Amino acid sequence: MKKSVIYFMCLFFTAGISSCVKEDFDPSEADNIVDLGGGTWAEGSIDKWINDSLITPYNINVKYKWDAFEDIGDITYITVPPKEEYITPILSAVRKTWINPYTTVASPDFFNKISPKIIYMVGSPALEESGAIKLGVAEGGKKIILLAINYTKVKGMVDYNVADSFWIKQMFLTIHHEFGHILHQNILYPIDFKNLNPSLITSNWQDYTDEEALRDGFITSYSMNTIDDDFVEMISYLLVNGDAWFEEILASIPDGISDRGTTRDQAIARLRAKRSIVVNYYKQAWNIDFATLQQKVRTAVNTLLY
Amino acid sequence: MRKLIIYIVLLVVTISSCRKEDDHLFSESPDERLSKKLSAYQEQLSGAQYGWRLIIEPAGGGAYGFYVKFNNDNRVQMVSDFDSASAVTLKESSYRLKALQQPSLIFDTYSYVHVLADPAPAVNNGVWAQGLLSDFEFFFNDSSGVDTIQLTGRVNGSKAMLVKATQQEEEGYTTGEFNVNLFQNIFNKILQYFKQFTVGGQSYDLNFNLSTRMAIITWTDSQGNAHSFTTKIYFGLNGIEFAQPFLAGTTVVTGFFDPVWSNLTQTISGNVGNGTNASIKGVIKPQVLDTEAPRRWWQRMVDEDGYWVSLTGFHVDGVDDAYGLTGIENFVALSFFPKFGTSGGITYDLAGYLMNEDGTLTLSFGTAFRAPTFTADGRIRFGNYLGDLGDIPDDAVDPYVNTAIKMLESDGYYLVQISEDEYDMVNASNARAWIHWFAP
Repeated sequence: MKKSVIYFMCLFFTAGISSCVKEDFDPSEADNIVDLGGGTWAEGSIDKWINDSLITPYNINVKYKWDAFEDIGDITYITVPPKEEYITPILSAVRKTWINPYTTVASPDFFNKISPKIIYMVGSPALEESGAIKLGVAEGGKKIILLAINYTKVKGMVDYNVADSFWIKQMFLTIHHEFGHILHQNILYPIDFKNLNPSLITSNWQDYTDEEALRDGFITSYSMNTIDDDFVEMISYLLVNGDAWFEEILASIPDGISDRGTTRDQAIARLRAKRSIVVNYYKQAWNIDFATLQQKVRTAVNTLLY
Repeated sequence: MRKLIIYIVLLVVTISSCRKEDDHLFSESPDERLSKKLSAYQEQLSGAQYGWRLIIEPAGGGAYGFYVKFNNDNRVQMVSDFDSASAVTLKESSYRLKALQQPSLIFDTYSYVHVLADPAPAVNNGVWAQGLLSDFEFFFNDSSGVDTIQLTGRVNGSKAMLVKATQQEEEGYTTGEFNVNLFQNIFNKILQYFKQFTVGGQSYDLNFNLSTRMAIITWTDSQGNAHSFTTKIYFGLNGIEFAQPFLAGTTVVTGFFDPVWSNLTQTISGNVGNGTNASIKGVIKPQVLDTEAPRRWWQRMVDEDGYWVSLTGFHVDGVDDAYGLTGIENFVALSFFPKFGTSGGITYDLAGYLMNEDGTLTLSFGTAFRAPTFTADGRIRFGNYLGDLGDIPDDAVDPYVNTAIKMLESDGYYLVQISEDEYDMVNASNARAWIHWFAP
């Protein structure tokens, strides 16, 4: 008896439950969800410029209007949106110093296949309690976040002077740095690079100055963060600052032994080795002549800054 | 059998609980209602023929006045009372209405609204990485009406209000007539620290702080009880406006408007809105005085074994840093250490000079005073000069001597507590010299 009651129960329950899901879905109620597919606004001249100059040729969209849900690495940063008058001059500079060199030296196909698809622009830098400032973030090869737009003037803008070039130069470095990451995430650099100075890699890179890093054979202190960063810092600094600058930097390394035991000759040899691995990598992995690319970037940078 | 009945009853309950009706509590779906609400707000914002006045009260304190005009294509034009340039330079930027958790108004490219929220201290003198804790994304409060819209900031919870502007206001704000220095310039003609505000035959003490944008009104009633009223203030076309109105007897004071300075009577005359006349003049001593303040101020740093700091020293006769302390090479701040040390059995206070010596904050030299006395009417009188400590650099001699002489004024000083960690020290002889101390 007991058993049959339970079976009976089970039966009813099944019936009860299945009757609950028999509900017709009325799609008419879902067809006007507010802002489904993203925010919309009346398009202006900036939107048109972005559409004509970046979306159509390269499928790169630019978000310059504030979006509270964009994540710049840490939700607690207080930031503000960019000033409108800075947007197209900066994007145009980005196109000249990054997109154009790659599309001409390599090919539009190569670039479109591999380039990040969203650029998000933020007006202020991300200021940290420690006093550090963050200028750029990249997310998994899909999006590059450019910070400090409101400080980044290019030649031709009101009140521009050469001292302002610091910010825009940082931005070029950021973009080439992040693009470098995408390159090696697609085709890894040779293992030789990893073996150059693995013991000097440290997440405490902030404790070292650029000069100290240089004495250990790193182009910047941030290069010490990871081997990947070392690789892409080499790319960005070589492209934006050029070979002449590189030679000057090497010459500036003082005699003696660094705190972490690197001699001047070792540091110079390491940096030269890194440079030649980068140059070979561009040729072998992507069939790009690094010197030509470098020259195109340098020319564009110089026209925009000085 | 009883069990079976219970099961059957349970089943009936289960099955009937499945009855699922699709009637909305409202006649439309949430999305339809949201969408309607957003359109209504859009229509209200861009439909205001002469635009709006916008008042923002950042969570970090104070209040700021704007004029804004929204169009139908996500564009907004504005001026702001942040500084004299932003008050006369109409700037256009972008805005949009968006359904976040509530219908929200977002200023989505940089504008004067963002100046207050900017995390860089160079922009707004705010806190590093925080700014003035203001907002540029606001949600609409339910209490909004046709002519006023109440807003709340989504990140910091700043308060904001939109009030429909008149044609006259639009003209004033958009043609460069908004002069935020006007009131300040007139106000600065009063050389005394203490100000008396008279309206409807009644006088009040008035403490306007135009940089923190706060006003404190204090008075004594007929029974001799002291009262105090505090409001945030901001600039409007015709003068200074109160974020919270003050009730002076039966007169509602919404600000101080149309100020005119009279050299003859040394008085600012104007009105408080609704055409009621009022005046402001300097006085040597306020009605309501915190007679315990001097001792509290002095004792606090004795207890904490600490010191008070002033970045600019004395303000005298309308001049900030009247003795040129900030002109001394490597000068950082003037400090005051009660009970700094003992010399020949005499415990002394020290007015010490904090200097930047190769990147290190150093107490380099200072003036020693004997123990102060506190008077019954609320003054501190610094004790006699005891001597100098350390070596005084040549370029510091004049500022140093002038400051010490001023401190030694025989009538002594009143102290006015501005906040938990801030006091103004005002000379009692004529109230025309004062120094702003804060706890570092």
